[in-house]
Amino acid sequence: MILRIIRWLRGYLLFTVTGRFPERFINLLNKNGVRYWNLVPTEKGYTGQMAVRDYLNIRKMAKNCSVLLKCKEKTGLPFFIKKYKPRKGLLIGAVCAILIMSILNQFIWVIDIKGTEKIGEESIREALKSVGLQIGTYKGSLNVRSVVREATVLLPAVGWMSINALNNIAYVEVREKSKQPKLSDDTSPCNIKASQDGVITKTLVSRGTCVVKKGTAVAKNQLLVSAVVEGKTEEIDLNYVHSLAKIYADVNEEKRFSVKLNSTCLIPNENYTEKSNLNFLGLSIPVKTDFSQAGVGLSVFKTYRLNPNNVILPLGTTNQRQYYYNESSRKINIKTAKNILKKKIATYECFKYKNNNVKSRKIIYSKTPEKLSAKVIYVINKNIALPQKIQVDNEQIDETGVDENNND
Amino acid sequence: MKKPAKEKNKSVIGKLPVDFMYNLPVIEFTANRQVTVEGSTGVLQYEKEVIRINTNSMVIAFNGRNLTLKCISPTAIVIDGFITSTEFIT
Repeated sequence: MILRIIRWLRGYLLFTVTGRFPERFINLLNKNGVRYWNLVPTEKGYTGQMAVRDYLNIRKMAKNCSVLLKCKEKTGLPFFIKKYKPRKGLLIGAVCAILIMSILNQFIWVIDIKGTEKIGEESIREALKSVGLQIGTYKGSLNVRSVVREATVLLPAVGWMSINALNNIAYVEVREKSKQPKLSDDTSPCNIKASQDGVITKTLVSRGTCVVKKGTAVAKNQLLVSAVVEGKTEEIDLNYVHSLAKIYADVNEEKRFSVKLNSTCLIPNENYTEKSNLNFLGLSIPVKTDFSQAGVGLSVFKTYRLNPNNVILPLGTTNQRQYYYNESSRKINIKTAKNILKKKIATYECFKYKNNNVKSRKIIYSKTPEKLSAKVIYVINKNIALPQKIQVDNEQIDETGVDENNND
Repeated sequence: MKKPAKEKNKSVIGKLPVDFMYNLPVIEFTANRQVTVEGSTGVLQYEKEVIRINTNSMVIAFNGRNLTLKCISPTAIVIDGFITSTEFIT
C-alpha cells in the first residue's frame, strides 16, 4: 500500500513494448537497473508500468533494441497537477476547504449529554455555558477539569460529571446524586399524637402504650400512644420507649373548587409572523424578520440542524413562528360549569388520594352571579399517627412542641 | 605420515557447494506455483505459457499456464503461475 502511494506521488505510466526482440529490451532494462512492474506478455509484446523519470531515459535503449515503446496511460500526482494547472479556482477552493476544515476542527460543534434522569438537559447546558462550554467554544481554550469542577458546583443535584472533548463533540456524562435516606431515631422516647380530628377505626401498635380504642373520637394533638410503659412488677417501674404505631381514623377533609361563569379567554386567530435565524458555531444570524403583527402571541421554535450521514455539522436554522390571539368573553351555563367542576374534583382526587382511601364524599354547589362553587366534604380513612419526641430529664417529662393544656 | 599439499586443497574444494564451484544457477520451487531462479543473466522468451531464462551454463524453460515475471533483478528472477514442466537446455 505504501509502495503504491509512493508510486502515485512520484507518478508512473503504463507502457507497451512491441517489436522483434522485446525480451532483449527487458534484459537491457535489468542491466541498467531500470525499475518496472506488472510486466505482462501480450500478443505482440509486453505491457508494464514504470516511473516517469525512468521512462525518459529508456528511449535510447528501445531504439537500440529496435522495439517500439509507447506510453498508454499516465497516472499520479504530477499528471494530476498538470491536468488541473489552468484551473486555479479549483486549487484555491481545495486550499480554502482544507483551511476551513482545519479551523472548524478547533471548535466544539455538539454537546452530547448523557445520564440525566431528573435534571433537565437544558439546565446542564445553561450551567456549562456559564462556565465556558457551549457550541462554538474553542477547543484550545477549554479547560475540562475546571469546567467540570465549576459546573458541579453550579449543579448541586449532580454527583459526578465527566467531559470528553473528542473531535468536535463534547461528551458530557452525568450521574445524579441519590437522596440520603432519613435516619430514624429509634432510641429517643416519643409519644404518638393525632395529626387530625377523627374517629379511630384501627390501631396497630408495635411499641408503646395505646391509650385509645376503636370507635374513639379524637381531637388534633390528642395522645394516642404513650411512650411510658409500666413494668410487670408491683413496684413503680416506668420505662420510656420510642413509640411505634399506625393509628387509622376516619377524618373529614374539605376542599373548595370554583368555575367562573363569565370569563375572558384568548382564542388564536389565523395571523402569525415568522422569523428565521441561521445558526453557525453558536452564532445566530437573522435571515428573515417580520414585524407586521403586534400583540399577545405564542412563539413556537423549530430548530433544524444539518446532519448528513449522521455527522452533525455546526450549521442549522431556527424558525420562530409567533401565533397571535384575540381576547373574547365566554359565558358558561350551569351544566357545563358542573361538568368542569366534576373534572376538577376527579383530577384532585386522582393526585391527592392515590390509595383509594376515600370512604365518602359530599358535594355542595353554591352559585353566585360570577361563579359556581363546589364544596366537597370527604371522609377519608388514613393514618393519623404523628410521633412527637419527649425529653426525659431527672425523672421529669417535658414535651416539645405541645401545648400545656393538652392532657397527655 | 603427512598428506601432500595438493591432496589437502582437493579435499577443501570438495566440501564447497556445487553452484559456487561451477557458477550454476540456483532454482527454488514453491510447489508448482512459484519459482525463484538465482544466477540468471536474462530473459530469452516471455509468454504466458513459456518463460525461458538464460543462465551462465544453461537455458531453463518453464512451461505452464498464466506465467508472469513477478520480480526481475540483474541476477534473479521470480516466476509466478501454474508450472507444468521445466526443461534444462545445455
